[in-house]
Amino acid sequence: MAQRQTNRWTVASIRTALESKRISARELTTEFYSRIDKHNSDLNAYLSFSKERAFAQADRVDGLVARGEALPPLAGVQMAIKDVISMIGAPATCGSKILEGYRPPYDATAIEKLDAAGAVFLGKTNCDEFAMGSSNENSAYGPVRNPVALDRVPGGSSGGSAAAVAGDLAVVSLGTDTGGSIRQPGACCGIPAMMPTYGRVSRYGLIAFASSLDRIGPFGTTSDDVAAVLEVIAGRDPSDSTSAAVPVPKMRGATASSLKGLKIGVPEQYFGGGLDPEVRAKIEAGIRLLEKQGCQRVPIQMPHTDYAIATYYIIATAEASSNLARYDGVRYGLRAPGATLTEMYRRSREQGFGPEVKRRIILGTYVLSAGYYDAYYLRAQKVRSLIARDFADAFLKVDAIVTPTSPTPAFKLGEKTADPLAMYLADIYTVTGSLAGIPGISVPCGATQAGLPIGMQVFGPHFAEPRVLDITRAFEAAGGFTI
Amino acid sequence: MYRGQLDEILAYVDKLKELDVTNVEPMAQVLFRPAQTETTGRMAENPHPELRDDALVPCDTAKAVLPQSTDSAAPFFRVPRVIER
Repeated sequence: MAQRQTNRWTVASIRTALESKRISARELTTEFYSRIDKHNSDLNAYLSFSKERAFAQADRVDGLVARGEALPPLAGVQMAIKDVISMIGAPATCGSKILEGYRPPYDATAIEKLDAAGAVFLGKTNCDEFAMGSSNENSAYGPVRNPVALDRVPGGSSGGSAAAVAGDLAVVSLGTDTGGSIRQPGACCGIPAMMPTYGRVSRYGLIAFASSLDRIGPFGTTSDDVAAVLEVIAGRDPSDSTSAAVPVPKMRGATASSLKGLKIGVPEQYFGGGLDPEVRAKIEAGIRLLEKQGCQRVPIQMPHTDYAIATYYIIATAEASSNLARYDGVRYGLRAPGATLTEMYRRSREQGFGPEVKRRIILGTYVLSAGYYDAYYLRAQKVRSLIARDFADAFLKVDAIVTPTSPTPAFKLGEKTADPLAMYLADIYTVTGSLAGIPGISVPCGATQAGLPIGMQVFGPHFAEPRVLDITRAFEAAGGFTI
Repeated sequence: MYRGQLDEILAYVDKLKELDVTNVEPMAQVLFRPAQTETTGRMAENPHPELRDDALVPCDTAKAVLPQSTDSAAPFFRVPRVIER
């Protein structure tokens, strides 16, 4: 069992080590690849490696050090990238057989920005097929194992990105979050994981699942590392019309002097029946720690919480059925032979997609069909408004909202695979923020008696990432991660 | 397998029918206006930031894209017969 390392590289410590020439970026990259060689077969976190690019990136950083030039913000930082994000010439399978062999001819905007910021891309990480899942068991390339407990899931869908960082096979990583796919694996693996505001980060080059929900965001081992990555990838991008034209504030920095007077909303609906008692106890302890830091606890009501999963699975599957229509075997990926075009389409999709993806395409097509559109899709869009209004109303009274990230710690591999609905309910506390478009972070908040990590979620209003990060930085500094 | 699972999921999502949504607008856009944002506190200078300049940019990717197909014959993708007799 790979324990969480105490002496880990961070964005800041790498910078110091490079500047003082204690280590070169090339040596650091070699160190990470040798750890990957040793441990990736246990975790199955990485699907492919981009060694040539990684060493070229490392050499570029070492060149800057040698010439005494200023280092960019993520100089030499060892990164893993979820396999739904495009990197030029590297595989992008999305955890699916249907994209086997596909190599994007361009970099996603987030990748371009990270490259310019000096990051080193070690490789692409495993995930649930097309980011659909909460356990990483829907990958066509085998499940990822949780580095904290190898018989347990790492969460999903960004399970590989979470396991790579938690297992010390990368310093930071990129994941994507549609209904909880960054925050829930962050909680399961015991590391900070952030879903930024919808529109904060360009999705150009992200292979789409549900366009009104998908977001790119970072994993790290500290709040500051998450902030460092987010600061680089954030910002308006003309190639993504949904990216917001709002200035990118400073996200890194010293802990805010105090959280005094900050109002923390604690919604009753997130502490109901399905919540594991050990998780409840730790989150309560986490909230008390925030109170000690000066926060004021405010009980709030979010009356439509119970409708979020149903709303989410209508909207997300509807959008997925449309987005995934492009996989027809014609231009890239898997093509199964057929005598006619229709037969070729049908066989390629039959062979290329796994069961959960098919389930969602069928469901999404159904809820959008002429006779059922009003009853399902339109109604879900209206309930989505109500859920967003719950948050808008809450943020008139409080500055942030604190909840558990997931109702249970990481479950065992195979435990929920036979029951899709039970798996969907693992996202009950995360999908609400996805539907509302607000930022949310999961940070470690102690562990169960068996040593399984527990995640605490902090939501903020649209574009309030700096405030959310101030809260988790103070929480982290006060020992909240190991409470 | 799918029928039973989909029936169960559809029965579950039916709970949305409990809510009265008569006067509720569907949420078709996630971000309403940048004016809502607390970082600026004011409307962005461009009133339609979602629209980019109508400028031509080169998109010369055919050479990189065509070989990704199982069956291509530049400048085309080749597919099985479309019109069935």
